[in-house]
Amino acid sequence: MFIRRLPVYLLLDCSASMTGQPIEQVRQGLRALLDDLSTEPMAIETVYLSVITFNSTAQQLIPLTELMQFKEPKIQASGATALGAALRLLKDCLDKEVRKSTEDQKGDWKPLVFLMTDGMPTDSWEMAADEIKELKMANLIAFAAGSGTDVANLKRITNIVLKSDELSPGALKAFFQWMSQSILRTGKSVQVMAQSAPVDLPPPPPQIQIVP
Amino acid sequence: MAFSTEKFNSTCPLWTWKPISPGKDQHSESACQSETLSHGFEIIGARVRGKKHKHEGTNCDDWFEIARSGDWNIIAVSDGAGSKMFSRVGARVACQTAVNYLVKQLQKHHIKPRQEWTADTFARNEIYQFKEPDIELTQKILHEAIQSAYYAIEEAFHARDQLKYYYKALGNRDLTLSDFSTTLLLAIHTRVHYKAAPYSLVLTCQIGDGMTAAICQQQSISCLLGKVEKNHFGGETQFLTSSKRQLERNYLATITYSFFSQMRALMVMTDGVSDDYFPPDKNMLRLFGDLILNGIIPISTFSSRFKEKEILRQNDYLFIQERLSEKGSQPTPICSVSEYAKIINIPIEKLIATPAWLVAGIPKEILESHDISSENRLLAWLDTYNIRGSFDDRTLVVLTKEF
Repeated sequence: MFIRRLPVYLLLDCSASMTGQPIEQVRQGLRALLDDLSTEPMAIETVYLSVITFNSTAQQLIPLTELMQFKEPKIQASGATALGAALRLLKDCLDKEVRKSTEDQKGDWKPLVFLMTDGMPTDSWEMAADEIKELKMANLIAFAAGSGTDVANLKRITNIVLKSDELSPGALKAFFQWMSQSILRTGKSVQVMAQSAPVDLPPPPPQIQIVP
Repeated sequence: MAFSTEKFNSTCPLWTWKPISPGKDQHSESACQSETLSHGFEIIGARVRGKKHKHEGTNCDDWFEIARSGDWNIIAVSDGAGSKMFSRVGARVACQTAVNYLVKQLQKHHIKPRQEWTADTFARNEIYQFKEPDIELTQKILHEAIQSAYYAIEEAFHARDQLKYYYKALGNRDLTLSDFSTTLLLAIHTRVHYKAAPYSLVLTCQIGDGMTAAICQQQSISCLLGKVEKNHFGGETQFLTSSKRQLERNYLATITYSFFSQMRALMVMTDGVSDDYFPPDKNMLRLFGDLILNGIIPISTFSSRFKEKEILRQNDYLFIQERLSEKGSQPTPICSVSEYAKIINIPIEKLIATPAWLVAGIPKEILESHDISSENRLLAWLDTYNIRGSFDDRTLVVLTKEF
């Protein structure tokens, strides 16, 4: 009998501007996320994780995989910022991998998608963004890592946008930590309007602000 | 995708029990109740705080109420939205109000005796009203109970919306009606004397997930009295508070089910139980079998006639699972009727339709433990989780009759 899984997709900008400290923080952040989730029984039983990276193209590095089977992918930074390709790939993955409730099948929980980007998109992305927002296929949370990206763009994809203008050393890591709290939905929460219904999220860490 | 027993068992030590954190609107962690009704019917009900809430130290969001009034037995079950901090208030208020209303209205309400009961007796017009006035009046009363439950939740919301406590608890924002979101399942039952036999007439109506199912006397047929929601993600159910349009009688009539048969059992449950028996059309019978095998639904014992069916390999269908409480983790035996059916190599429907074979599989400890009441056995069974990904509050009310 199938279980209801909580599908979690990470969409990570691996463009050239992420080289060095930023991409290293992403790697460390991902490791810490896995460590955090692996001690929580609810996550072990239900979380399935996938990593999609994008630079000049988009690729699903790891398909939706059970938490305890998930192996940390090799992440490198180079190239442009094909956000459109990433969103189209995301929609494709959501269509193929996520189960909806039917008379014979238990649906997964609504997927959580975390999108992190530090720069302006270099491909055509607007239609993909509109489609994802309209179809309500997931609870999508976008993070503007630094001031190189336009928050308004991200708002087109989702109402839940966080930012860290000054991408300080700990900010990316803090975002990953916040991600695991969001996934586990523990602790006190702030409500953020997302599409038709508010989503309860934990308060962001000091380096990160919610964009109203 | 195979369910891995190993991985499930490996999360057991990670689950913790925390007391419910202090605050307003405290509900008891669990509850159980039983009533012996007229004409050989019995009813038991229980709800438990789910593993997730125990782990987080939060309240149980389920509620149930059982009542008798005149010729009628009344069941209400509800499940407050997991993401809403005060949904348990909605769940409790919905059940209590609906049941109080039904008690008053059904006290002197009778179904008229009939020479013939046929499908035609339950014929409905184009707006789903029953053509028979007494049955239509029953439906009307059921719908009014749902409406009164909604308005009671509104009242509960208004009674609290100016209080600072709630504003702060919600992280400095105002309460809204949706903070009390809850499902509601109602079932009303009466006995009808027909063809010199006890028949049951049941009407049900539910908003949101969970399920109601009836098991016929032959014990091989289950009848769903609710609909499985489609095209949603898990947890995206309708709530009583979702929209006032749901309260319209024309709409409620389309989701009201009737049942007339010699009924062995009626089971009303929240999704904490129905999710473990999915899809319901194939698995409600299995739930009934599990309840018998675990000594929760009484079944008369047939003695030596079926010695050849006596089971010597009890360990293969009796699993020790962990039941979490403030005392820590208690190993608790749970029997699986599907595993038992595999061992004796009988299709599960045939097994459940043959009471003597079921009885042969009930462990001796259960058969002989007369000090534990059925409702307490139900509570223990609900409280002992044995399926990966199942950690929701669980509530089940069972109305039974032995023939």
